[in-house]
Amino acid sequence: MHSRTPIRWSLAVGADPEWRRWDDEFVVHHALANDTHRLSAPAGRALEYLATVGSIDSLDLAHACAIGEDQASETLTALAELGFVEQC
Amino acid sequence: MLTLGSLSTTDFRKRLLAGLSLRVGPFRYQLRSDLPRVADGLAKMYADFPFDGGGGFHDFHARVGSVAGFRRWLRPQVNFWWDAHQPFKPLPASQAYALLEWGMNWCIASQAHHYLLLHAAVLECNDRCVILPGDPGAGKSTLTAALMLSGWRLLSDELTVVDRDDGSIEPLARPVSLKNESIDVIRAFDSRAVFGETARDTHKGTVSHLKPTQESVAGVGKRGQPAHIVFPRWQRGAETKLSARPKADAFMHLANHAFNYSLLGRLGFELCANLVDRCDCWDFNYSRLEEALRSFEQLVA
Repeated sequence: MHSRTPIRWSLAVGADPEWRRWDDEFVVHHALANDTHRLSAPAGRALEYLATVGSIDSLDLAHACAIGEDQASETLTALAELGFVEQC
Repeated sequence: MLTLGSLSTTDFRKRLLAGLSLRVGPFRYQLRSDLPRVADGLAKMYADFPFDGGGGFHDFHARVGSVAGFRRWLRPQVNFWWDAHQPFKPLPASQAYALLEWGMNWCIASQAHHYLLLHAAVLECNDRCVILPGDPGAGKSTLTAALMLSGWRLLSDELTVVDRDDGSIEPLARPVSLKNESIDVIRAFDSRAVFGETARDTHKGTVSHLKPTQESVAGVGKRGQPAHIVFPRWQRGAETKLSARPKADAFMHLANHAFNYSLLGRLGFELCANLVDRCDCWDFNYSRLEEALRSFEQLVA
């Protein structure tokens, strides 16, 4: 039996995200892709958090955003699909 | 001040043939045409614009003229030239003036990337600008025309030109393009409204341009400060209703209505975001113009 080690994530190279937050909604610009996305509060907060601490895992995000670990994990996976984060 | 309206018909046509300078806000066009309907349309719609001697630098050199070939004897056509390029397909000669206006829009939308360019109308009252992005058929131009005829300063009907340095809005005060039923709605709204020639069977339906008010043209040197972004939606029988729109949603809609958002990259994002930051954002449903105008007056009170 072995314990699961949560994946750690950091901002993707070249993403250089810039965002604006209005209430609980974010719009974020991906520098490399020159794409703009409207993100949910947990996804936007994940980017804010990552920009501050450098790397996080789903437990960190779950704790920071007061959401379940599954939702945090899904959020990080979705951000990875958009090219904003990558595994460390 | 000498205005284009002070030129005689003969003089105007002669100057347009040789190259007429027209300053529209920050842009200067040199326009050419040998078509009387283009000359007469320009003379009527831009009568209050200052007469410009003609020398010096022009941002855009544009021409509307007849298309050569056998077809001109049967169904005469016209086209728009920007320098030596023809960005559009030829159109029936009866649409010559509308084609010039569309071409002038195209010049700015495709070239003036030193601004953020939004597909939106913008008007000002009490030193506060209201930006009206609108999908086709949303009633943007009808509302724009009615507001202008009610004393609001028209900055633009089609293109909101946002300064990259301070987010202010450059006025153009060009004619308002009205389509289909809107033409009669505005004729009935204000009998003083001055319309140009009606072009039928265009790709937008029936089109007629409305002359900008003298006050709007006189104010073309004064930039506007954005205060509201209103997304209008005309619906037959709808109650007049102004409701707050989430800013993130307004941002995405605005970016989709920008001609050069992607082209400007990060700067486009920042400019759009700054604009949304400084404005209140609204959805606006309406069917009755008079009620709509009252709502707008309250907005800028």
